[in-house]
Amino acid sequence: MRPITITLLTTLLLAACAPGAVQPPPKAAATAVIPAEATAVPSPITPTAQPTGAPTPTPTPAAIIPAGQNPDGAFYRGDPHAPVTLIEYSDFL
Amino acid sequence: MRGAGQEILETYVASGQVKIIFWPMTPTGGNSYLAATAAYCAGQQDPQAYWAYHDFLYDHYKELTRADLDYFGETAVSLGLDEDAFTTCFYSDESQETISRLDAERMQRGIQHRPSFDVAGTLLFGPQPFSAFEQIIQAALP
Repeated sequence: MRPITITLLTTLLLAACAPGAVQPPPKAAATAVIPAEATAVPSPITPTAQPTGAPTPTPTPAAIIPAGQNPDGAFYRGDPHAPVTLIEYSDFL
Repeated sequence: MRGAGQEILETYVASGQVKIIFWPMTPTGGNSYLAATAAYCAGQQDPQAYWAYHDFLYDHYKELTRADLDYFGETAVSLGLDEDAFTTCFYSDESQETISRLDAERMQRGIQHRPSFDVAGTLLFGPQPFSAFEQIIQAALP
C-alpha cells in the first residue's frame, strides 16, 4: 500500500505542476486506507458447554437475601425474624 | 427446593415474610451424606455460600449419584471457596457428627418422606405446588 500511495502522490504533484492540469480531489488517496475491520459485523456469540464443575448461574436473589446458621447446625435464608418458618427436609440426590 | 422454591423465594422470602430452613436428610448414606456434608462445609465459610452450594447441587443432582470425592472439592473451588478450609471441614468429625445428628433428629420428628415440609407447623409430604405453600403461608401471616 505504501509504494502505491507514494507513487500516486508523486503523480498528483507532477500533474499539479503541469500547466493547464486539472487538479483531482485529494480525497481519493485518503479513502483507500480505511481498515477493512471497521466495517466488520460481529459474529453472534455461540454458547459453549459449561465445564462439569463450573457453577450454573441461578436466577435466585440469594445474594440479597439474608442467610445464616441456626445453633442446631441447619442453615436458613430469609429474615431471621420472619413471621413464618418453612423447614424443608430433603437430600440433594 | 425444586418446583415451588423459586416462587416462594421471590414472593415470600425476599419480602421478609418467610424464612426457609434446609434440613438435610441422608437416608441413603453415600453421596447423599457427602453432598449434605459438602454444603455444610461451604456454609462454614459463609452462610451465603451454603445456599450457593445448595443451589448448585440441586441444579446438578443428576451428576451426584456418580460424583466422587473430588467433585465436591472442585465444586467448592468453582464457587470461590477456600479449598483447604473446605477439605479440612469435609473430613472433620464435627461436620460428620452434625450431619448425622440432623438426620437422627428429623427421624425423631417422624420425618420419613423426601421431601417433607413443615410450614408454620403444618406438615406436607412429597413435592408440593406453590399453591399448597401459599395457602398455609397466607393463613399463618399476621
